[in-house]
Amino acid sequence: MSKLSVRDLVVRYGDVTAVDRVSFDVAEGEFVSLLGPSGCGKTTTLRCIAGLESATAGQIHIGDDLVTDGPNARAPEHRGVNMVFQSYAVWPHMTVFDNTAYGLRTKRMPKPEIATRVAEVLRLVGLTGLESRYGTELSGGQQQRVAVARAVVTAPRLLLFDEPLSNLDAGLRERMRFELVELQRRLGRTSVYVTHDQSEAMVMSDRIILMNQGRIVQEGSPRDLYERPASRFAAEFVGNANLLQARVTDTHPDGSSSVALADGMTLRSTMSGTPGAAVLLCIRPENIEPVTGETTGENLLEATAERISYLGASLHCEITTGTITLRAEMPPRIGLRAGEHLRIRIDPANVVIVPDGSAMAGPPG
Amino acid sequence: MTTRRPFLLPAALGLLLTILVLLPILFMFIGSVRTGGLADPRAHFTMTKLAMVYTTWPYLRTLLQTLAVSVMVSGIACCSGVLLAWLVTRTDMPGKTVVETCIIAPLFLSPFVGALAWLILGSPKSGLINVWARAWFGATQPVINVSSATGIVLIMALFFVPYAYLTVSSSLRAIDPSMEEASYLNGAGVFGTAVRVTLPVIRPALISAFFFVFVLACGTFAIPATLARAAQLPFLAVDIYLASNIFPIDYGRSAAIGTVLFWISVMGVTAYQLASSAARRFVTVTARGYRIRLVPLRAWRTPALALVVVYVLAAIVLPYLAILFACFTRFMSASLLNAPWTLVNVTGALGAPEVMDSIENTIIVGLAAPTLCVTLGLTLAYAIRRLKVRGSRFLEYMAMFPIAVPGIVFGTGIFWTYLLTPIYGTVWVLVIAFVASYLPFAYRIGDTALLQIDSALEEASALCGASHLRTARLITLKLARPAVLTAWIMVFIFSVREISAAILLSSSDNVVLSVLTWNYLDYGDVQKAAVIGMLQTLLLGIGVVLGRYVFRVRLNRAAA
Repeated sequence: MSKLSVRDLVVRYGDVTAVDRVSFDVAEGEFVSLLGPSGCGKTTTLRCIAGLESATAGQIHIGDDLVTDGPNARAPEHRGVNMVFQSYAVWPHMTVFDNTAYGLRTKRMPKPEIATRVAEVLRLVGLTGLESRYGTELSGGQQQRVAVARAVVTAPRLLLFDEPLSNLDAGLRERMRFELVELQRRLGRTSVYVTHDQSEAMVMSDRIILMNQGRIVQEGSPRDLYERPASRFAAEFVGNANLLQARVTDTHPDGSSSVALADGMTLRSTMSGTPGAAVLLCIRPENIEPVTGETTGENLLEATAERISYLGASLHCEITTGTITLRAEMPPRIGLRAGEHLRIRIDPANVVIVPDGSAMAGPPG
Repeated sequence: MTTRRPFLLPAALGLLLTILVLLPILFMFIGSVRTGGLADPRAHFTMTKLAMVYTTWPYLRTLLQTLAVSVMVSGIACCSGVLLAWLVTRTDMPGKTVVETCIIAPLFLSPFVGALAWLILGSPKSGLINVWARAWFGATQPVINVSSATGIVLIMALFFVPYAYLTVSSSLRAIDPSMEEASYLNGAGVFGTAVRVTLPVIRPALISAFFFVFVLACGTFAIPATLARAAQLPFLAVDIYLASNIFPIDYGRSAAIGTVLFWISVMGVTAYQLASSAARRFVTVTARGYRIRLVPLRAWRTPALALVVVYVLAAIVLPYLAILFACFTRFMSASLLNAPWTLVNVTGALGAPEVMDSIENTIIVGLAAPTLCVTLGLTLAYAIRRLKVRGSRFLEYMAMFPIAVPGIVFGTGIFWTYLLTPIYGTVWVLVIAFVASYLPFAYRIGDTALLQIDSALEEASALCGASHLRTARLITLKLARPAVLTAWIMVFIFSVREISAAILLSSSDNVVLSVLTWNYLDYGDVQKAAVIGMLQTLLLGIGVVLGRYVFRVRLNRAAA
């Protein structure tokens, strides 16, 4: 039995469908991210799980409890879940201690036990010594920690995060990412994390559920999502990608296939395809390798560097091969200059065939 | 750009504000230590009046009573305001737009006319409610007595609920909804969350609302003066009026009581400002515009709506029905039960020359005061916020200062200042009083508007070669148009319904509708008073309708 199960969740506001038949499960102790651009329905889904938003249709189970059944929803205070809010929602009229102890006090836990549990959690999030500070006297990062402490101290069945890092500055955000992951690993709490930041989702999650326009587009491990995007949207939203229109020309006995690009150039991919099908090729910029003149093998191309930007750790290049322009990331040591010729190689394992929903039938180009 | 302007403009504005705002207060203080008027050659300096007013019993009793009544009024208004604001912003109560409009409506009506209506409804012997109760239910005692202390407190509270409601509801809308959601997720219920999170978070706003209403209540003249004449419940503002209108007339004593009221207001406004700055501190980072989960009222729906209905009945429906009843019947206590309908009252009143004069006066004041007030307010806001002229802080302080001065106190000061000038006795002395009194509203609305107009829009105009004046005219004023209209309509409403300063400054040539209503009521002619009250309400109604539907002013927001 999974810890959380969402079945055919639909949320409609008038004519707008914010969440459209979304179903997924989260296993005990798993950390799952809902990732997607703003307005994709990820936060609405999360708020339905918390009971803060009512569903138009669908069921949500937490453990064995049916907590949402269409518009009939159990009140948020009776769900045994807790949440870290985007705005932290640290109560300004209470101290750090009072903020953290709030949920335990509503449960009427004995005072000495509250003191021990709050102290323990505050130590865990690194706020020991700040117990008597007020919410307004804390920095953004500290407020964030209070919000986390307040959510975990009640030992919720399910921990929800609503873009908790988006109000922090870049440096702090990076650090809090790792702290949150570590905390989650240590506590082993089942967590659902909402974010629009793909690198955040990649670093933190066991599994990512990618959403767009109210629907689930793809779900899988961060690696799956990056290396095997199943749609143009997934390829573009997660990481950078060169997306090329192509047509499958051949399939080979080893399961690999050949694809023809718009200008007739042929590439080999280790993925299988249906001959004649119009597809998209997804090639990540870092998978375009410069090679020396003697190299032989598949997917070798002659190219010209058009524009080069030096970024320290890498060179961002815009290269053309035939009529096709590609973005590539290359090591700076190759000392490439704009206008120079080079040979590149794309490993067939890195030529990903993506079904092209938008392509019309007929020859590409 | 000339180098002279930044000096000339603030100097002119400073001088104008000094005359308009500071001088009347100064003259009031001078008046309180004189034995006679300024023109009286035998008048000399004396401390007796101040000593009397500040240390002797009947005056101290009035002071304590005014404070006690105002505290109760403000307490009741704030509690009702919090409850109504919470219902509107946090629950699934039906018909919220209508409910909110009804709650705010008394703001655009005259409290004086409301008090007059309640006198017609609830005076112990001849009040409509009591007469009907006697006739139909055989009541031997009056069921309602608006002239009792309780009656006065409740009716004052009724008309101050909108002020409390607006402050509290805008604060409830500004705070981060996640704070309450976090409380729910931590296991607290609706009541627990309201008491332990919502109320404490809006506490500074609530305190500032309390002091705001308290100051307004302390300076209120119309309601206690209308209702308390029988019960003789003394009230500071009423005492000021009595000292300068009832034998033995003593303008010095009137000014001395004015100083008492002035100090109370200054203290109240200081407390209000401290609380509002604390309230701003509590406004935290807010997430995207997620609507807060609305609390389902379920079985509470009916009582909640009943509360609103009772309020609307008491503040609007019953009073105006009573006024209409008095306008169109032969209204005498003997024949109340089968009072015949008639147009005599209306035709009689409209035929009277003093009525036509007062309509004319009211319209002059109603056009001139808002126009001058908004022009001055906007000029000040522009000079302070955009030109950043020298002495900005002083100018701003002076512009906001009248908020601490009740109308009747301003009236006293203006009286002492202009008594010897030819302006005194004309409608223009009222215009001066109202421009000064309502300057803070006009200034603040103008300032907020300028704050919302990105100064880059003006800088772009300047870089295109436009002068300051051209930029102000073509860019700033155009963009600030909605704010200008809002301010104009608000000051129009305030000016048309004002009575406390108008009554102190009234003479035979400058009677406005509110003063005429008062005069009729003073002669005991309730019906004529009702007709004039109705006329005044019509004029206010025209203003609101023009503002709302022609100029598309969002009056709910403006009043906040």
